[in-house]
Amino acid sequence: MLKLDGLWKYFNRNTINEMVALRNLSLEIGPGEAVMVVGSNGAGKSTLLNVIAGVFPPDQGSITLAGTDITSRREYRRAAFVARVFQDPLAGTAASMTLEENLVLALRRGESRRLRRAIRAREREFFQERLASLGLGLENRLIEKVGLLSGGQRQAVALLMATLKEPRVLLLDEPTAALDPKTASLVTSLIQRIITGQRLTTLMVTHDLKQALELGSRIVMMDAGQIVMDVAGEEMAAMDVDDLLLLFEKGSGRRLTTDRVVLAQ
Amino acid sequence: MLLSMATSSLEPGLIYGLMALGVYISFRILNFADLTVDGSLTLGAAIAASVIVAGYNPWLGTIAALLAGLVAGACTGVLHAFLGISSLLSGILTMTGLYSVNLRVLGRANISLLRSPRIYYDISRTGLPEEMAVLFLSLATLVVIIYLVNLLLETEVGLSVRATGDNEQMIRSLGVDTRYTKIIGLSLSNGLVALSGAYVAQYQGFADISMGIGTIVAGLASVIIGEVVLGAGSVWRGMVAAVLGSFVYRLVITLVLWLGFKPTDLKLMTAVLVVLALASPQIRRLLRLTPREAG
Repeated sequence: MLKLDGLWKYFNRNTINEMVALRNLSLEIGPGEAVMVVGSNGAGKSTLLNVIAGVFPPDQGSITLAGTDITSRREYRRAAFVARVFQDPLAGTAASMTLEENLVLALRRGESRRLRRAIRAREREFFQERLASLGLGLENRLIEKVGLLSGGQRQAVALLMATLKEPRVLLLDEPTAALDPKTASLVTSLIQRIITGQRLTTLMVTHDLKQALELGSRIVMMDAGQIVMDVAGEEMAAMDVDDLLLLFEKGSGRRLTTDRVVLAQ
Repeated sequence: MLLSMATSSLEPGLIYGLMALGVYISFRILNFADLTVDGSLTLGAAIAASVIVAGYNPWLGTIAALLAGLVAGACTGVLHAFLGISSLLSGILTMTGLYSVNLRVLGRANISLLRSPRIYYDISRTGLPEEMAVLFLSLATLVVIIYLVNLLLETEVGLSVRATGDNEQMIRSLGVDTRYTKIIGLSLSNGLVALSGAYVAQYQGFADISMGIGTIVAGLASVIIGEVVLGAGSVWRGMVAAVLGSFVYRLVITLVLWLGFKPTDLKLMTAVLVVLALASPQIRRLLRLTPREAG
């Protein structure tokens, strides 16, 4: 489904601050796989997501999605295939616009926008039905501004928006990291439903190893711009957080050191 | 006294209300402080005046002004979106360039329309009392424009423009090329400002090269005053508020003149007014009228 081949990405290249964010990274993701990307801060996880989404191009290497080379396609032209949820719960929605306006923007993801009335009765009905499935009572708040919703509600809406029109690949960048524990577990269960229910090909960055084991069908660990560990299937099913940490040490030659990972244990 | 001031502020309030609508679109919807308007107001006035003086129908001149404004706004949009020039500087560059364009269009520093036909005359010929013509036409124009702009902003394209001003990262990730939505918004905004310029020229009976100076500040003042009076809400409400703000702003000007200030002091008054309005949250905090937020 998604094939990354020999990706390199530098920041501040040829300066004293040069940093290699992706170092000859290759990864192939099959349809329906839910890949969890874990690793310490600065490992290149977010860069990887940004390169796939097309926020910036890689310096070397290629990205192929369902047989099409999309390496040099700009972000807005990948949107038809790639949907995204950001870490910041406020980043995925437009606060000054109503809930239904936000949803209809997402419903037309990747399509060319036309000069026709955006929201009609048919769309409204569809939105109500989908919002009701979130179980947050949002189906009665279609014409309220999204800015009035809580961070957790907005993240749930962002998640719904990403899947309203089914993408080929769903990118999730620590979608629960900025939420309080209760909302985080709610959003996690939503993600669980999307991954298992819709069988979407998913790439999710997370610091929470427990969450990764829960949600993923495959776990990829990154360090210094490379993949140092890649487990899936039965091997993964038999693992717990400590096994993951041990494996990481073996792969990278050092301990996984971020306070957030430690806290997540 | 106050009543006569209110009535004399009504006409310019409504006519400049078109300009305030334009500024509302760039400043509030697109989140873009666009200085082009200082040039495009004059552009609209210059084009309408020179078309009328050349002997053509004043409606033709007014439509031409609108179209020229659309192009001027698109120029700023292209400078910003495609050439990567900062928003403020793109507006300044177009505004500066427009000064020469406006002089070319006018041919000299000003054109008088005293003995020329104007759109308002056509209205008074329908039997409406002459003193109502300006009021009626500007009000009718505002109603039609607000309706049309609101309709446009409810289309898929319109929603994309609004989302561009609200959360550009999000709307790009949803597959909208924000370069174009910015150009659309700026174009629309400056089209309305130029249309306002055409109305102003025919209202005051002349077009002058320097009539656009301070338009952006007057426009911002109108938008902000409107929000204070009517509150921010839907786009529809915001637009009505901008027009209302424009009227209040003209009323304040009339009041200031009545207090004995010179017309040349007005720009300073306007600037101070906008500073006060924009800084009011900070000022209130400094004066401790609102409690500090925790943390």
